[in-house]
Amino acid sequence: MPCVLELRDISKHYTTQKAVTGISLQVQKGEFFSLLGPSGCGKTTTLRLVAGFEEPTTGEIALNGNPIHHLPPYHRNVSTVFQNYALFPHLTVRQNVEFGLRRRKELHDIADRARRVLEMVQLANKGSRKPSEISGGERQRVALARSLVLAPDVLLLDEPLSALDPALRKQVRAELKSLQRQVGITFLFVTHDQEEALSLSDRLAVMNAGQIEQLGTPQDVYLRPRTRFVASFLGSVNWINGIGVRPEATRIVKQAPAHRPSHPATVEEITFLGSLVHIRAQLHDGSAVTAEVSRLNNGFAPADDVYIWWEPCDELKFD
Amino acid sequence: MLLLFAAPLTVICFYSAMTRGPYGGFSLPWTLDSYGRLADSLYFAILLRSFWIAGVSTIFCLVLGFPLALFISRAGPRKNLYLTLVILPFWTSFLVRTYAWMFLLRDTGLINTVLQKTGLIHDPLPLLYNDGAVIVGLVYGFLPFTVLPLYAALERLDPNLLEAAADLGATPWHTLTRVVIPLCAPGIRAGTILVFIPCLGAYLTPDLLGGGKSVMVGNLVQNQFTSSRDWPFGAAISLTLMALVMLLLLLFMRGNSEEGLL
Amino acid sequence: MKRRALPVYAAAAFAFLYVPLIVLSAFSFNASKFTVWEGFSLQWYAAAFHDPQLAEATGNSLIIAVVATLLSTVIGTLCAYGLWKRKSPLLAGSLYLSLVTPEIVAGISLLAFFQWVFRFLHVRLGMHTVILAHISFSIAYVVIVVMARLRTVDPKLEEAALDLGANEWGAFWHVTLPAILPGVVAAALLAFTVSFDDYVITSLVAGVDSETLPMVIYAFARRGVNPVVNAISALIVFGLGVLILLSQRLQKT
Repeated sequence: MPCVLELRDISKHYTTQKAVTGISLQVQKGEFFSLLGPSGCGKTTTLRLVAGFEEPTTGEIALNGNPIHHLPPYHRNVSTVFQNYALFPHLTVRQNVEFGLRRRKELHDIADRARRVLEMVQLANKGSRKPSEISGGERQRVALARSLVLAPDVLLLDEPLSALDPALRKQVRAELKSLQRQVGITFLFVTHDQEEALSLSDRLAVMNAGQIEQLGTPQDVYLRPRTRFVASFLGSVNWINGIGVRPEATRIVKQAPAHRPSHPATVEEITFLGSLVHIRAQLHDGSAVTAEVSRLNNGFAPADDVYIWWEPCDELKFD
Repeated sequence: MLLLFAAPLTVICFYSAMTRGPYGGFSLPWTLDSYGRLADSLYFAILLRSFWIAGVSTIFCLVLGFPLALFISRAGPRKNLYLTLVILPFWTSFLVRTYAWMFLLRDTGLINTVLQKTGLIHDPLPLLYNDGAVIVGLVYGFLPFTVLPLYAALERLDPNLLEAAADLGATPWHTLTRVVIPLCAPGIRAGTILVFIPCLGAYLTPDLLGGGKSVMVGNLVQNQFTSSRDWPFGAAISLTLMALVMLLLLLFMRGNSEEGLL
Repeated sequence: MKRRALPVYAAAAFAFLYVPLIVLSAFSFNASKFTVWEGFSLQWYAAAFHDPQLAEATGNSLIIAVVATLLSTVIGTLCAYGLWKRKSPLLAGSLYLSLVTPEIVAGISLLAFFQWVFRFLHVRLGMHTVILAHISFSIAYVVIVVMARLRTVDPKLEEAALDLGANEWGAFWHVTLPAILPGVVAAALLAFTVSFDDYVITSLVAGVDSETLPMVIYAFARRGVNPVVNAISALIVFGLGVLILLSQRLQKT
């Protein structure tokens, strides 16, 4: 697959701080690529550098092979969906969607193109409403439509789900994924929610303190994290004598398994989470581990004596 | 974007042009003599009177304005109506409002006529053409300028504090004097600057309501530029006035970090 | 005690603010020129409308106010926009300076400046100097009003406009300006009021042929009380009052 977006050694340094340093990545055409990290890690700055709202201190950005890092936002064929949607309050939904086309003077078929993209996001009947008259979820779809109608090479999304009700988020997440598959446009998606990133992305980059710690598929980064940060950001980790094991891979049994090394422990607390149960046990050296078991396999009670073991392939090893 | 900077910078240019004034101006020798003349007792008295009048007016504005601000802050849904009512007179002609007081205060004015008609006095009271008239005119003109900042300060007051004071045994009067007023200090400071400084530089009010009897700094300056034709001296007085204004602003601004007008 | 006292006091305070104006207007309808009511009459209004000096002065005031308002609104709006996008202590400082300066000081410094410039250009004091002077002091008022409105605008909207293909000017014209338009109009109304009513600065920089309405009123007032002045005053108060009410309304939308 051809590379549609490439960042080469991008850095953005302000006088007071270094927002991002040494960012290099390639996004393939049609890919759903995420930037994942905690707040302040530089993921939004990276997005803004691609959009053109900031200029990189060093490095290059290329779109389809052409350098764009010196171009203003209105000359780049990328479009941004903002976190709070930034819909123009004085324009109707339709006028918002038509805005970009009008600026480009692409006035032929403008009503038709707007209508088609609104149909795609299921808002065809709300064209004459103002942004203040529609719901948060609908506003997000207008923001999407407004950007998609311009057929950008890359669609940039800045935490688009964080402003929604938690209940709505899962549903919109699925809609977003199917929309991307349907339209085939490359998505560059920024989020701090690891569940979102894992479920939506073809590939993702985990960022911390302005740098990329690991880049790969969701399976790669979850099962084979390269640093402690990546391991603990993407899920919980039990640290036993310097070795990391995820709770779902931490086996807990009442009798010592034969032919395997195991650690004796005592059950401290059992937390019922619905379909899963978390069992916290204390090893004899004082450290605690959490094992995750299905509720159907939970035969344990506090103060039970147990043994902890794991498969060697489930160990997390770092560079 | 250049436009934005050009316009107000020309304003600054005007002031710098003024600095030529005290240094001779029309006849080239650049001297600072004009400033020395300011210390002359006659002119110094005018300066003092200006401070006195401005000060008294400010105090009146604060004292009269505070209960009004208090009323508005407790007025519920009609607050905006009252605020508009307070600010409205200020924006209609200042000249007209000053003239209105001439109409009321003069010997054959309304107040004297009414008092005479009702037999309370025989001869008209000399209400116009003195310091008092000027103060009345200034207070009338600048009252809204204490009401607004005081209102803003009162609005920011946490009602829980008042309840806490009552809970601890303070009478309403106590709460007012020991809690509310001290907490309104930023508003009082803002109101003081907004009234004292324009009053100090007042021209129209002392001119019309004071006649020739209540000369303030503003009148003195105007005088130098018209009848006395002593531009350098006028400029010297103006710069001194500006320096005083800046000094006062600096002193008062120390306390207020929220001068967020611009 | 406090319950009753406060509203009564407030009523008295409002009375203090409005009674002088009401009295003034009431007596403009007085048939006699003394402060004794002698019957209703419109003669002073008639006299006002027939006075050629007043007519010319009013005309001048209107021309000056309209031109000064147009220019100061445009400049002031651009200034506020510039300040909103990028802080400039120099610009903010000079605007503050213009607000804080006593009128008399501003007036004489403008006069001094004009006289100095006139050494190079062969111009004299006249309508143009008055207009320039009015623009210079109105800008700060416009900036304050427009700035208040700009603070309610989401800066991301302009970014969205740039993202969608508008350049910097397009973003201002198509997105920000529509959002602040009520504020701009309110500022213009305010600038008009301030300009129309100005006496101090105008009197210093006006030429022989550019008498304004406030200057005429001042001259009349100086000579003593004149019911014609009452009539004109009532009209001015009413007219400007309406403009200011409109301005307040617009700022609240």
